[in-house]
Amino acid sequence: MRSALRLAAFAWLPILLAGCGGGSDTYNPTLTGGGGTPDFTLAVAPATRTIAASGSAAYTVTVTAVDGFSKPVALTVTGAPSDGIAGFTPSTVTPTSKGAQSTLNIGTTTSTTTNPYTLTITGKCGAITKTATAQLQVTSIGGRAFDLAFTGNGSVVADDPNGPLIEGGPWKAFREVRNLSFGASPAIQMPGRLQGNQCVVDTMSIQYLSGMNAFHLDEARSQFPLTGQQKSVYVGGSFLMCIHRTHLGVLSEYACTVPAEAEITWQAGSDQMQFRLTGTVTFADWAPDIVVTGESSLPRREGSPPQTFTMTNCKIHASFDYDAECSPAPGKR
Amino acid sequence: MLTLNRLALASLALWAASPAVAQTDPVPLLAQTIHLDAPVVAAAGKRACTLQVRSFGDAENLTYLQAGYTAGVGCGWETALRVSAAELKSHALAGGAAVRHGGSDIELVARRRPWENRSIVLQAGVAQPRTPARGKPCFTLGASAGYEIGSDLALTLNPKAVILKENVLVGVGMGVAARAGSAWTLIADCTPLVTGDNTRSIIDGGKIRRTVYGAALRYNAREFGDGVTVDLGWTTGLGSSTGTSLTPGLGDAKALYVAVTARR
Repeated sequence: MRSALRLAAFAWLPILLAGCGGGSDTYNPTLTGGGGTPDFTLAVAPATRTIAASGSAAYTVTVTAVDGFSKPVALTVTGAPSDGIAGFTPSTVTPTSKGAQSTLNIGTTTSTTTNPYTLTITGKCGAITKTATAQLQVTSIGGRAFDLAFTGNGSVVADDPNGPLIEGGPWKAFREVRNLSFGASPAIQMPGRLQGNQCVVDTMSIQYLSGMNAFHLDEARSQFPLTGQQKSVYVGGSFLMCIHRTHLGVLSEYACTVPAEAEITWQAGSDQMQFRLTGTVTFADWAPDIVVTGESSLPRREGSPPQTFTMTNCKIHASFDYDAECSPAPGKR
Repeated sequence: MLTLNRLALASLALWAASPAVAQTDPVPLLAQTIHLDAPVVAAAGKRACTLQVRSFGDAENLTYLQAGYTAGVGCGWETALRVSAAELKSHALAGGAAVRHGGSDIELVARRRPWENRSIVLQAGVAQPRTPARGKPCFTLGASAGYEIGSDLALTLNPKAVILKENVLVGVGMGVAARAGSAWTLIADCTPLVTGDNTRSIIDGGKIRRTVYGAALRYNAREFGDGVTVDLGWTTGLGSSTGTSLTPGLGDAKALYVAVTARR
């Protein structure tokens, strides 16, 4: 009898060493409804990036769990430039309901074909596969977009680690400024545009001359009281915008004085003061104008001693498209 | 294999700390606690029968009825059959999803005390869950070791595992039993999981890992005969089988725990 019981007790055991079925679920509770099966979603941002050949771009890929999905998702990408590199950091993420992120890095070379590329990002876990797409625009050296940043009286520097954008290259011309911002302390951000067709730029600097250098809140106060409804005041000024060109060792300079107006607006009871700068730049040698407008907020201290907002540490940040087609031959203008 | 290694190591670690314990008391200190298996086995011909009720509130909101039968086979062997049953319920989540829980579980266990002078029991079993998450048989493993400190205090270590496909649950149960008078014993145990996810979040439904624990007062009801005990306490575990003892109630729900055990 005892032997039979022992035998019966162990007769069960060998059959289940492989583990209990039911996938990776728990022993008891499971998730149902809400679409039924645990799932995940895949999203990529931004939808489009534009880089110059030899540049790189990064996208953020977000994997979000749905209905309790909690398995690792492997990420892959297709459609990237074949002579470049593409990879995820990390390449596998375990999503939560709040989303888990990975960074897709795309690197190109100087020989990368200047085409639009459709990147197809795929997230795969078992039988579940999700895709998302993003665009990558690779422009040539002669027609790429680039960013310029300027601080104080220094030179314009490009965000391109490969060095100066224009120097030594073919003659270029501004085609479009995508984003132009003027900065002060605190920063003033404003959209703007710059158009031209025969501009050669090696460096660009902007220097405030007068009027905008400094102004006192008590000047504004003298024009109307700091009570009641929304008020505005205009403060005029000018600044100098210089464009320097160096080609074949010859430095040329284009400069113009830019009249500008600042409008300061505040709302009674608000602790923020709106600041808007408008100005137009006309370059003598090439037709395009710079038209800038923008606004920012500055802290306002009503009733406090007059404050001085000094436009120091000025910044310009601009994104340009430039086009070789509208550039004259070197040495000509 | 990792699971087996952990269980083996845990058992070996207690080898030296487990002196022989005489099991002459009809209600020994080294007995099954709320979630832990006893580090001793019944003598040949001895039987024990247990009925339990675990009534959960909060998100679990179910009552689990349990029955257990243990028989000593002799030569250090014991077999045990455990049955747990509850209704099936759904706990609604935001977005239309729901966590389904409840159901039944049957486990047949073979237990072996390989050394007569050591309070160590190794066990293996087969469970047949009928829960919303599982419907196929599972293999279970466990080891239980006990150590008595004086005559009124006993400690139990009970690593255990349920071999689930892609989600092996391994918990290391630690328990204490302390006599509080001639008829009363305080029992408590805690089983943190070291591997696997044993429940689901009631926020997003995702799998999560929770420690199972409980405490109760055990009354030695001699008026009903030697070896009859009544437990009254609270617990977070669904049951005393290997699978249910590694599974907490939804949302850390607590249950009123009542158990009646008769040993003959």
